[in-house]
Amino acid sequence: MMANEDSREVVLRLNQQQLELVDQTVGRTEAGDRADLFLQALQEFHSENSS
Amino acid sequence: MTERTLLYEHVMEPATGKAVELLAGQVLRIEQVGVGGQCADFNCFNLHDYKEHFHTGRTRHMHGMHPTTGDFLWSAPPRDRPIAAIVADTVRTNDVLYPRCSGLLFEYQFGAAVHTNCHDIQAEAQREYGLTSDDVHDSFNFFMHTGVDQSGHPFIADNRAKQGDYVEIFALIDLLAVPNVCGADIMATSNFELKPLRIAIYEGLPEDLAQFEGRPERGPFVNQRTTAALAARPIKADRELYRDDSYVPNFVNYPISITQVSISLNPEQQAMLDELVATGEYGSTDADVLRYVFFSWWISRFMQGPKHLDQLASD
Repeated sequence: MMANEDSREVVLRLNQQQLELVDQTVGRTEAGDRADLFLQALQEFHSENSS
Repeated sequence: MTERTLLYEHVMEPATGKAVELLAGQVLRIEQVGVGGQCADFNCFNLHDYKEHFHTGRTRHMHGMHPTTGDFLWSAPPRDRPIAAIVADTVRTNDVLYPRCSGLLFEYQFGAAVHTNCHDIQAEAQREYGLTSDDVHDSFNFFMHTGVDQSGHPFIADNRAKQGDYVEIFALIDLLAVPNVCGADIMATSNFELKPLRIAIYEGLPEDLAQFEGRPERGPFVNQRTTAALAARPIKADRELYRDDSYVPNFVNYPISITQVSISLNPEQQAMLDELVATGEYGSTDADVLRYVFFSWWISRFMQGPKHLDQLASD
């Protein structure tokens, strides 16, 4: 996905074990790629934990 | 339930313990006699490989500080598997937080250098099978009523077991089971009085095993390792430690490498992240918080077993 001027980039530093878990999860969910999965997590976590 | 067939029984007098062979499929009952209120410390080992033994830490991790009916007794890593299970518990005040009492505790805390204590009682009972005092491990403390206060300190409360109360332990592998009458008579553990305990071994019933078949903890997992999978298989037989000049490190997944992953947030997603950052609960930078959020979310969605995340306690 191309970033536009309204977007903000967050750069995560993940090790090979964490990435393996991320990639396995992409494969077992509807997420299209790593970024989609992180955004799904953000959406759902925020929904459950925001005041 | 069909009545179990009694195979063996014995009354452990105060200051004693008993090592018994408890084969897979058999049930060990530990029962209060007399006035009750007696703590029973417990060790167990794989009957065919004593290096595999019960582990309070993994049991506490999986089932909390007070395991009861339906919970497993786990062996220590690298074996890391359920080796027994609790199939009955009429009191439900067990403990896997406190270590066994020892001679030192009574000497240091009470000035009693020679006193009954669970370590030495266990060691003497285990000696019947060739084990030594160094082989005694942290105990499962049946009927021991404990808690943790608001400052994080553990405490011992009154023992609530009454005459006839019992726990039953179902063996998932062949075990050497070693219960003992806790020797602490000047601590609250057994209401300041030593009493006997009856132990009995019964033939297990199909419904006993049925409770635990299919439980995911039982695996098999590659990390429930057998002796064949261990890097150093021979049991070290001398006490001195000395360097192996042929040693070459072989750590798992070493070296750890880092990859940068870029996530693009639209304004709505930015607002969500900003709100979470502002709480101060999940980290201080956008990246720290998004990583915390992701793995916490993953744990809540996909992880098996206890989740150990405070904010997920109500899930």
